[in-house]
Amino acid sequence: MVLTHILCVGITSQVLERTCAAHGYVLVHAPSIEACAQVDQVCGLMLLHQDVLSDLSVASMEQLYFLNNTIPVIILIADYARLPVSLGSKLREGTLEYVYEHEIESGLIAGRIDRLYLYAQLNQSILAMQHNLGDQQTLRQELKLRETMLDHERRLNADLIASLTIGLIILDTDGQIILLNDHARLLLAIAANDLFGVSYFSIFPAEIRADVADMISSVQADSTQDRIKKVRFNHHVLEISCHRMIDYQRRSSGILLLMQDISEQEAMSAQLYQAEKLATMGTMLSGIAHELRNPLSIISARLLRLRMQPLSDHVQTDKNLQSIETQVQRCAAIIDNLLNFARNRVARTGYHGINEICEEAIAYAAYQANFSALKVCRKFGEELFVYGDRSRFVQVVLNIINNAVDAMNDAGTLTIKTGAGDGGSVLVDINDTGPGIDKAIRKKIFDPFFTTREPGHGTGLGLTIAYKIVTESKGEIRVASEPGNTTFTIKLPSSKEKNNG
Amino acid sequence: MDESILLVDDEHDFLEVMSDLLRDEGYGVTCAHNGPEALALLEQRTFDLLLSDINMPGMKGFELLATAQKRYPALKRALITAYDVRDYLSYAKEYDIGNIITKSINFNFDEIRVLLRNILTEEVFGLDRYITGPIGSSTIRSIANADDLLTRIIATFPNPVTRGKFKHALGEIIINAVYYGAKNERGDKKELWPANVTLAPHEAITVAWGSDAVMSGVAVTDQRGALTKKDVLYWLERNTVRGADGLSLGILDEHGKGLFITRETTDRLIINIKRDKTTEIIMLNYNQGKYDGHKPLWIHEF
Repeated sequence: MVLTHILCVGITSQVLERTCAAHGYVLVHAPSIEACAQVDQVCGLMLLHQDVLSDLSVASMEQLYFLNNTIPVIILIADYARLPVSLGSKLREGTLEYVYEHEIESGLIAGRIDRLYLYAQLNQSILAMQHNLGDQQTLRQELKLRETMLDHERRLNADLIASLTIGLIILDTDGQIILLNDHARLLLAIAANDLFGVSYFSIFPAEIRADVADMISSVQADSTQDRIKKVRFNHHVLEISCHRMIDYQRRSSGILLLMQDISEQEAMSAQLYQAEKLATMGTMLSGIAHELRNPLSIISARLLRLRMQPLSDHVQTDKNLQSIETQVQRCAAIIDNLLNFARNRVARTGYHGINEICEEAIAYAAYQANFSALKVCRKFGEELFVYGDRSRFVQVVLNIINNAVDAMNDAGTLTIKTGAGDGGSVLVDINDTGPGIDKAIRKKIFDPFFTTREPGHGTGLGLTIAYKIVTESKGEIRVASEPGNTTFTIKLPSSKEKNNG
Repeated sequence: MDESILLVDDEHDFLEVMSDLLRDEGYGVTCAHNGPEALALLEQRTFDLLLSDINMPGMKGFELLATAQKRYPALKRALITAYDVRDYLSYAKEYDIGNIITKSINFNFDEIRVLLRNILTEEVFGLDRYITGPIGSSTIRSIANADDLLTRIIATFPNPVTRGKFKHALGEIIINAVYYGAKNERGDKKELWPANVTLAPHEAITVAWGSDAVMSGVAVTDQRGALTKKDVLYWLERNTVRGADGLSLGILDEHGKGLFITRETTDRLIINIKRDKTTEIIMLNYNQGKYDGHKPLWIHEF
């Protein structure tokens, strides 16, 4: 609003013109109130002649008040007696300013205009301030709303993190703790409360510290791969996974550690392995019983001989006693062998020679009734070592051999070949000359409970478990089959340290 | 006795003790460790009996016996095994083997001695080959008569367990002897069998019984000799071998279970057949459970 313009309605005066110009005001003229609407120029003050208001209707009165609320209005009074009553009372109340003609002619009006001008200026800054105040209030309200929302979100996040049954630890790029949730505290048995800024190294128990450090450094070295490790702590099996946190600019912003207590799953899969092993044993059992009958019948026959011949015949007595001893040892070896396989012993995790593993599996498979009808061909390479639980590896090889033996059904050649594969891997090929695996079922052979055996024979879990054990050891199982030539290939990562001496 | 036996087994220790035992009996014994070696020895000289283990690497006992029989039809043969004979019934049928001796625990050389003598002499009939005590004997001329006899025979056995074992088996065998052995009735028409059968003199069934310190036995003999080794092996296989459903092949068979049940419930079942002349079924039960375990297969057919 340009306050230096004054709207004159129905007034023409040379003196007024000059006075205003002298004080820096510009006059804008309109002949009537209606004509004011035509004026483009925004004015800071309005000067009205009494006569333009002589026919003051309700509508023009309202217009007047409206104008007065926006800009000051001065009424020029020519004859007080002719003033409309309603306007007279307004003038008396001081709602509207008035001026007499002589004040214009004498130039006194300039002081009035200045005063009203100041008033208008004040009015406008008050208005501006009011506006500003309104804006600020809106802003404050909005801020408050945002704060409430943020609070909600924060509380949701906090609740989420607190009620997670996954241990969550966030580290900054220096490995200092930014966040550690209650479950992580529980899993790691941490009592301390405030761990912010503490190094991760001090919160992990000694027995798993090295594993975690190893994961973190390997994730930091290669962000594309997450690392997962199973560790034992406090009679639990924890699965810890380590991921690099990336911020919105794709920069590394820290390390995320997730921990889960998988003791129950581990126990269950251990039970499954054991159950499958026992089922395999069940089918081997009658073979083993037979195997015991041979030495026992020899012992029995020797005892009969001892009873029949005179004790003085030392040569004969010695011969028979020696034979009994040998056969007793043979029985013991059969039973030991069986127990070795059956026992749910603590995992014999370590380095194991692949040829030894295959030899052990062949020894078990030999208890199967129709095994002796087959030709067994060993094509063992130099001894290579794999790392893991020995009995699991034996279980894998045995399950595959058992299938091969069943497939050949009394006639054929079983070939077991070991050797080094690409990338320093260890390969075991188990080949049979059976009818081959039909293409239609080849995809299903690793499925749980898939079996081609008669009901009551086999669990349908042999290959499933073999597959599980091998993939858990970061290996692979492949199968190639055509009639008369089926090969299962087990590929296991080699233990380089051990194999290189 | 100077019969010669060719003993084949991949177990050196077994060859040694078995040949010692057989030599003590007066046999000439030659040992071979596998089928090809045995066949080579047979090529060089004549033996009276080929006694071979079943489960050997390479050539199995059944194949060896089959090959030997083709080349030397006069050679007598038997198998010996530590395994369950029931697992080999299919092969026994396929290769027509009637005698499978078991390497039992305790080692039952008395039994082996008798069995080998039977095979070599071809004199197999008569309960007195197995029982050293007095033998009673009676003839069955009707079913009514059979029931009384059964009760009377069983009462003579000293051991209550033995009495129980005989009761069922003997009843089964006498019924079989009357309806199949004497009358040639059809098993699938059991409902048409006449309730009271009288046997003519040439049809009469003889029952012999006796006990000694070791065992008790009963022999049931008919005069027709209609049963064959092939039949016996067929029915034993039907009831022993299990099909894809896990049930025995013969589970729905209307008949043929008698021999199987008898073999299962008595300690020894010996079947002697002179074709078209006579069939003798001998059941033996040990007084003490000394030789529980695998049972030999004793079928002699001439």
